[in-house]
Amino acid sequence: MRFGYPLFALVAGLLWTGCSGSGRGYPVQRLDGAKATLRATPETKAWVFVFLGVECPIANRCLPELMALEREFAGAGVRFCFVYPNQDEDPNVIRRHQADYGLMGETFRDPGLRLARQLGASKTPEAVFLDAAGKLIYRGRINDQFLALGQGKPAPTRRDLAEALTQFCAGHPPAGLVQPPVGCSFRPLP
Amino acid sequence: MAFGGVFSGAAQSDPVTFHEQVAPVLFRHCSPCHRPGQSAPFSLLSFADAKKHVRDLADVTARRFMPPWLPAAGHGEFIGERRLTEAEIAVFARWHAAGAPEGDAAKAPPAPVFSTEWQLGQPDLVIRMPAAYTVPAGGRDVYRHFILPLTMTNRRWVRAWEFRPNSRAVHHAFLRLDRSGEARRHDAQDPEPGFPGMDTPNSVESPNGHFASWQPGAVPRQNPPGLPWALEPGADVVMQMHLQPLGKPEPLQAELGFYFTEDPPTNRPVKLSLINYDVDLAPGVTNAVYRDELTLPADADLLGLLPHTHYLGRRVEGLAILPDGVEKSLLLIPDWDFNWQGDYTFRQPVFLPAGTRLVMRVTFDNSAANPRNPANPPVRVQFGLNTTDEMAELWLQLLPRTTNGLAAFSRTNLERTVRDVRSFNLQRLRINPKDAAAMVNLGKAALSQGQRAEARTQFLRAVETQPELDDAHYFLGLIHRMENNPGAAAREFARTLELNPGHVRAHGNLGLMHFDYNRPERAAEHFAKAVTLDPTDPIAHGMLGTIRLQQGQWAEAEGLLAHAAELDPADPEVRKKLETARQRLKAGQ
Repeated sequence: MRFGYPLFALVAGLLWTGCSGSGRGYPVQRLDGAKATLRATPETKAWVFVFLGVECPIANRCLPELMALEREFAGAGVRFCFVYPNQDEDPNVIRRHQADYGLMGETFRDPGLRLARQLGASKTPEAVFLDAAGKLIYRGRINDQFLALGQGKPAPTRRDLAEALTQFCAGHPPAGLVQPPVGCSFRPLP
Repeated sequence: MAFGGVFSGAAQSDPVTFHEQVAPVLFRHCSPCHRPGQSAPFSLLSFADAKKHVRDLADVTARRFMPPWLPAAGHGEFIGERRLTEAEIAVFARWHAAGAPEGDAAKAPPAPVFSTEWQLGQPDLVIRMPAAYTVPAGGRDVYRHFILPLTMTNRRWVRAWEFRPNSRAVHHAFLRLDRSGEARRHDAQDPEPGFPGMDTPNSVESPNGHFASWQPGAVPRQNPPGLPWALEPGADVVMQMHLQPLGKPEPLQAELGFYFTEDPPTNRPVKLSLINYDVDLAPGVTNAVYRDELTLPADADLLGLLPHTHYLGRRVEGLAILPDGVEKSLLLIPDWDFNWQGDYTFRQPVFLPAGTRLVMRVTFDNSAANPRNPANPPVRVQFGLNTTDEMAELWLQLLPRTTNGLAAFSRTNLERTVRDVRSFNLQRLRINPKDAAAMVNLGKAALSQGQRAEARTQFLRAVETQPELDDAHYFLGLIHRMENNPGAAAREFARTLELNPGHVRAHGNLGLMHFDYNRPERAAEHFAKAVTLDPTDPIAHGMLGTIRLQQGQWAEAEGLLAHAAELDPADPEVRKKLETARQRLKAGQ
């Protein structure tokens, strides 16, 4: 009984990863604590979920690039959702983080990692880019600047998320491309 | 036997808890940086902190990314070592595997107490960046020099110093000194505080005979007893910093604390460099090894090492081959990381007899498989100072055992410096054949070796290539002066001053020429300018003092000569004149 739920969630996550289906929606928690299921509207051409951590240096360093991408592609119907999966990062901590970094845009929590499991995300920062039907276009790192925590080069030489977005808008998106994310692990559940 | 078996078996299955096993390692190796006000992005000061990051703790320690420490075990023992033992790494892995249990708080070691003040107490002098620089939110890493002006009026001997970046954006820093004002001129040309680049002006140098680097987690630097270095009045401290954007604009106003000693040095360390200027990496090349070596001219103790290469360097080795053929590994960095570079001071100085060969080997990887390659796809990379260029260097700090040894080292140092200047500037000319400053440097190297014809050729080429280059005219003037062509020399010095009214040496030489031709008034004008431009020029102070002495201006002469004597204590002429000035002053009263 004790292992029933997590096991179910894990298997479900595996089954549903990458084909979440527009009908099922995306389970999140709003900053006011309300649970919600995000669904595509007629304007939604694609989704980009970005998992963030308040203290993760790699996630924070990627924020200017992520905000620029959001501004650039919002007009093309790409809906950016910033998701904080770490359970200890409460709404106040998240609001302060957003104010500190000038981060606007749709923001959610995922303290039970339901969305993360559904999408197959495991680190901050990690982007999951899906089309309106829920089919995976790209999942993984934002760019190739970092090799690990504390390890990297002076600037990215490849901007994986930006490339996938550009290809999507040009009409030939990658199909389910995955680059391993580099950054901070999600916090263990208590 | 049986007891040992039981004991090790128990150790394997003992539960690992935070308070008993993890906290001692964490507090010692992680908390010094992972605490508020330091460089690390989050704190690791408590059970709650550690539990949040347990998975990453286990991962980064197992991969030896943290704590950051590049030298491999068994190749030199250094002060401030941050390497974890295998047993310490296993503590994190087992704690993670066990689900990060807290354990019995009663068994916890005392929580670490860190001073938010200067770690060695209140410094004798604190200097800071005059204005804050804003590190941009995003974009590339930033390499920038900042000037921290000095305010004291006398030479001081530095026995220790601490750098406080006051910002998490600083990834590493080098302390350098500039007595020429060159760094200020660069700073003035850039609207923001400081000036960009890794290409430090020639006049900006590390403290004589010493290394001075800082990286996150570095302890305050204390020089060995008897080996302080000098802070000269009028000099600028120049901090060269590698900055990493943090995702939001970050104010940076770093400060430095100095601890002085009244006792001047009892010995002089020398720095010798192993450098390979031929680095030329075709795209895709792996395992390209560049080496350099030198033979020690006298017995010495090796105090420390400073390896340097950029993003394509993967492995750095330093080796001593003793006269009897025995090889001694001094340093091995198996996985070089530009971000965590620094210098290393041996716990115990390493004695190396005369005739020891010191060897550097740097291995490069310019393939796409090098994840730190700044170019994608890889491009050809040659020797140069910018991060897009490459370097292969190993600097050695040595303490000669005798005065004769020191003289031998100075000769070796000069020979190698001339060699380095030649190699470096020939390389600059290969990349840019119109680089007139490189021609001037080649000319200077030739001049220092007494090769006047070769020097003249280089200076003339430089003038032809870039007629408004002040130094090219200055050195042509100098050659004319050496060859007793005062008219031509004066014309070149005058031209130098037209191009750069702040050229101290041109003023100094014109002053000397006017003095020789018995025109003390005009000589005094030039020396006065030189003294104002460079308060550390002993010749200009001595000469102006001499003229004032002749003119009967005893008080002014006394002040200038006293300053000259302080700047160059070894000049007996100046001392004699100073005595005269003092006697006259006394007699006049």
